[in-house]
Amino acid sequence: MRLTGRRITLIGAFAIWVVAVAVGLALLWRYENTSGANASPPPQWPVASTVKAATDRATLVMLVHPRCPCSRATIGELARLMAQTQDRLKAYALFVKPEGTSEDWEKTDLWRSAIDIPGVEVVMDDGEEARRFNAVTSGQTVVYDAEGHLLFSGGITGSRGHSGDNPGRSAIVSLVNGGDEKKSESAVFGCPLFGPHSACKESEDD
Amino acid sequence: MIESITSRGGLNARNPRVVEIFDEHQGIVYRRTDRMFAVLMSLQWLAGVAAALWISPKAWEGSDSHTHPHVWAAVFLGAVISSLPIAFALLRPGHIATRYAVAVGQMLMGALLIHLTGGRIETHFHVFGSLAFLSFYRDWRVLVPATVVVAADHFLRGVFWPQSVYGVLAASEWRWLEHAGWVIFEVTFLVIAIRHSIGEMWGIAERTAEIEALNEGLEAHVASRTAQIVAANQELEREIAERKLAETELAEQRSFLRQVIDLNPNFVFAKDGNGCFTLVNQAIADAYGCTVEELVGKTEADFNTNLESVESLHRDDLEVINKLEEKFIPEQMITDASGQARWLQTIKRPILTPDGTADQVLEIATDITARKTVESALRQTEERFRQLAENIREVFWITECRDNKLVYISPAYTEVLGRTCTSLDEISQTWIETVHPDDRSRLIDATASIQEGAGYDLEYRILRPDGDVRWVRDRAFPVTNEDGEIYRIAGIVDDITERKQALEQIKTSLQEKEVLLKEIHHRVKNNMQVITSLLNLQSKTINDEHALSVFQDSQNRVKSMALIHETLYQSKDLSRINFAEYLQKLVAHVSRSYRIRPEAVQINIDVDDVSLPIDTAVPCGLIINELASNSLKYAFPADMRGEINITFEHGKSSYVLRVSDTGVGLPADFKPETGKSLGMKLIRMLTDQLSGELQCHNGIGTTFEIKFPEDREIVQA
Repeated sequence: MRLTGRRITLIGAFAIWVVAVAVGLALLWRYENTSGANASPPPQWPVASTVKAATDRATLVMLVHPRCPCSRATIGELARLMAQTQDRLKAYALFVKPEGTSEDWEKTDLWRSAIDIPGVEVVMDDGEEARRFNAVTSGQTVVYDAEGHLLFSGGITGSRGHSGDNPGRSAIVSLVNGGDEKKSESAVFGCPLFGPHSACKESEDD
Repeated sequence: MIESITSRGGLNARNPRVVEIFDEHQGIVYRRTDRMFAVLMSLQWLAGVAAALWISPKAWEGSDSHTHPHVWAAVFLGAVISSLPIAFALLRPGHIATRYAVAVGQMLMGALLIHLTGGRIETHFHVFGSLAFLSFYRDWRVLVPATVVVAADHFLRGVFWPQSVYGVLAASEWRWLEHAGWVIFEVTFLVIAIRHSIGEMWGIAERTAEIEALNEGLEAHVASRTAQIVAANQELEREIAERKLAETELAEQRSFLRQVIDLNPNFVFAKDGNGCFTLVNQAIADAYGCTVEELVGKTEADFNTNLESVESLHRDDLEVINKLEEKFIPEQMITDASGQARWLQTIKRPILTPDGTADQVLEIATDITARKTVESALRQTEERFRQLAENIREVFWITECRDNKLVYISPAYTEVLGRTCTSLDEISQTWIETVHPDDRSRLIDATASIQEGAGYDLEYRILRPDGDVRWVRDRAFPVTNEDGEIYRIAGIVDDITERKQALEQIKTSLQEKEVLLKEIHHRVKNNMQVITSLLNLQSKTINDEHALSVFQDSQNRVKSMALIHETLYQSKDLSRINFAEYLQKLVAHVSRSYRIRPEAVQINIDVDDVSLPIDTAVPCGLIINELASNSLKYAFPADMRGEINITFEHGKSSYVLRVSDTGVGLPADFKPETGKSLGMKLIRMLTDQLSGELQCHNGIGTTFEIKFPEDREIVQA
């Protein structure tokens, strides 16, 4: 087969296209699989917390950025989680409202989705509770047992904004349903709860 | 069956036209689907961007936000994935590379959309939907790269990131086969559907080819029939053209014949059995005072008021039609539009029909009215001639030059020649014998000369049978035909015996009178000579110069008249004298009587050759005598020399007498009309007698000029 100029151009264009597509997909996958900063929640339920931990069952606290699109998958996974654990888990969804935002800024579709999940109590947080649990990434989920011991810390999605089976949700279900009692962790995929110059710094100050 | 239909190896056995139609149809499907995917992928890209903006427009950090990377991925990565398939679909529609690029791009776009929607399971239907769309190409090969991309995606992600595709962190290494299997499951049915579709396309191609073949046969048949129709049309057009040409030629012939019969001065017409005109020419139309078109269809009765004539004409026409015979009618009369009778000489001929009968008669009538008029006039002329020729006393005769025979001689022949008119031939043969022998040669010569075109007027004697000799005057003249050739000689013989005798008597009497007249002139001259002599004798006794001059003047006056009578009786013509001769004698006499010296006064005479009657010559002679005498006496005193000029000119209808001298001239107050001398009175009186006009010029010498008419009434003094 003779390689004419036109054919060479065609092949060249195809090769460039393949490279461009590969690079694009690679960047996209990289973004999807890059987790946020992991929290270091206190091993015991913080006493100062205004959230009341359950004493007869485990308590789940999820810190959510009201407007983080990646957390839509997290809320979805929370709904599945609640369905799997039934009444064996007390859940709180704390929507962190940054300072200086308008009233009801946090009342987004995520808020409404969370309210609709049975067994989940939605609470607006001005950042205090997030700091108490050392959460910095939306979707950060912590689970304490009835005695206030930390059972789980991490995210319940497999990648950024991606629904589906993931290790975090599986671990919680296992912990709550009386399976493995060993403390576990997973990566958190979501937007930062605080801006670069506020929350983190304050957290460091604490 | 499907295998045989879709097998490219089996195409060799196919009708090439079927393959051609199939390929054409398939190319249309490829290109149409390419265009569909170009649109679909463009909309799909926009939908991806919209989905990204809807689902994850922004990424947040506390209260801060920025555009979500999904949006950029949807915009740029979606554009990159869609660009090559769309470009190929627009620039290389129908090409297999385009279809492969579309398949790969469509599957990649599915992967992107799945990402953008957060891995929603519903978005995975995009993959199956895309496969269904790709089956629109009806090319199972396109499904291969699509399947490969899906399988590779799941395989690679299953190996390197199983949770992203299977939702678990540790999936089976063969699980990608499950996903690929579902894809292959659909692809299998799509391939079957594609093969069915291709089989239908082959069927369509075969039926189309069959229809085309039928159409070609039909078209060939139609073409053949069309060619036959065209040929028939051409033949018809040729026949029409020939017919038009024939009609044109027929029209030209009709026009030509129409002109021919219209130019014919004779009446050319045809009638049917009812007497109606079926054909007429302009001449008969003009005769009836109408147009050709108006005359056709009418009958003679519409124009001719003479019903008897009309019925006669119709009977003749029916006779010709019924007997089928030509009929010649020497004369028949009709009445034309002006009411004038027209005489016709007609030939009637039946116009035969193909069955040998006749229903029309063709007639050619010559208008002989003029000829009849001429004949009538000729008869009248002949009658007048006959009356004239038979009643005059002269013999009128006509001979033919061809045989020199007499063709006519008037009855006066018997009376003039004293012979009976037996026959013209006899007269011709015996005519010369009737002429006096002494005159025959003259007649023969004159008769010969007339052949050259000149007539003759001859008098000769004829001998009557009774011995009487008669003088006749025979005047003959040639008669020429239209070519100017002499073919007859006509003559008149007049008996001039009595006239001849009377003329002889007149001649005799005239000779006697001439002798007598000469004797009279002679005696008058002698008497005047006696008077002159008496005056001369008487003057010798007179001593008075004046009286002597008067006597001498009187002598000269008498002498001048005597010279006239002398000249007259010496001339042949007793009524006129040669004025020049007379003037020479007169001047010579005057010169001698005044004893002038010829070397002193020269007299010049210049007179035209004219003869004057005596009543003109006498006054002129007396006037010249008076003027010449005066010049000789008074114009040249002492030894003066000079000239006297006497001229007499004959003008167109007048005479001019001029007497001049180069002498001393007349007194300044002299006027000829008032001069009281006898000479001047005499000159005025004589000028009046000549009905003339007197003029006198007094300059260098004296000039008298008298102009008088040639024809004048004689004024008696």
